[in-house]
Amino acid sequence: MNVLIVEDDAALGHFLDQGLRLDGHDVSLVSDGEAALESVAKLRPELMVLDLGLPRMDGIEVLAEMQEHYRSTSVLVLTGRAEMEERVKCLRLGADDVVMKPFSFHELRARLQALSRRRSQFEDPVLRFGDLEMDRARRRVTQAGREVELTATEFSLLESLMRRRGERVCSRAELLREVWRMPLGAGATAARTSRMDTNIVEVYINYLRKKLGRNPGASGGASGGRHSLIRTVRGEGYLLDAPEDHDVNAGAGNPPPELTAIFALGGCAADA
Amino acid sequence: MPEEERLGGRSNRRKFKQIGAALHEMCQPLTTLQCTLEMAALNDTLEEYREATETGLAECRRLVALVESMREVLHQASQETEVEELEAGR
Repeated sequence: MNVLIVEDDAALGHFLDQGLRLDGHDVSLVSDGEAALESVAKLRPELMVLDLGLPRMDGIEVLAEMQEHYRSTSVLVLTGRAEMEERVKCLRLGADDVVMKPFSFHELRARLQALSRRRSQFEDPVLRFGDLEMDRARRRVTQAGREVELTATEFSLLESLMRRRGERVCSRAELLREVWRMPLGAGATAARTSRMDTNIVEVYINYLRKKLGRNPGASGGASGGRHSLIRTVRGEGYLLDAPEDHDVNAGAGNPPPELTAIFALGGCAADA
Repeated sequence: MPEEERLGGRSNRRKFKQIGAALHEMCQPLTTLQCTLEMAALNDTLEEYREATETGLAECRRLVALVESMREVLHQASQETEVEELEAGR
């Protein structure tokens, strides 16, 4: 999940950031209320872990703003105050869960997993991106109305990319966790396996590229449809590329330098 | 309500507030300490253990400082109570 941590205590913030990264989440950390709202507007996180005692804007005010403008983000509140009234107030203001400090990291993890499960239950079973449509309930994918045959792994991989709607890069770590259910171990363990794991991701991305073909948005440009629907973002991961973006590039006559480099190396250059 | 009781009630509320604030303050380092040790138990390298120990020690120092300030508050509160009792018995 894409998680935003809002915690003004530097040590605890750092720990949460590291801990949730090891669990494979895509994490951002800010330390005050105003920065929290700016980050939500920019990153559109799926989940916010929000401390209540914050400088510049109190956690309760942040929660009220979230309820008004960003309801699609789930909020888990962390509080050091024991009063029941405060926990009730947070839940009434739209918090999805409240955890009292001091807490166990195991408990926090379990609660985040529960929130993630709840979110997925309410998601639309049909995902759409451009002319691509994925019916998750019927395990069926169509592109411009034509059925695309995918293996179970390819289906899961495409699902992970489509869930981000081309708005957010999907990192290799996220793909390994979501598609291959690979637990991301700490430190040295992760380093030992990362090279082999990255190759698996690359291989399946290329299978998908072959089956999905080219992005129709690029076909009218001078680059003649050379763009893949799945774009590699150097050093970051993969992103579904919107046809509108290609129209801009096509109008200029050439793909951006980053993409030129990727295609020159067969679409895998970003994985070095 | 007699003046002495009213003043005593106000004084108690202030003490509760101070103790509540100190407990709230203690929650931050306690959380970091607990989570750091939990994660350290899952780690497998000396480097990770060392890092966890350093973080744990830093949080313990924060906790010790908070315990000291709580002691100070309790000491002051007990002195105030003694004075109040003496004055009430007079």
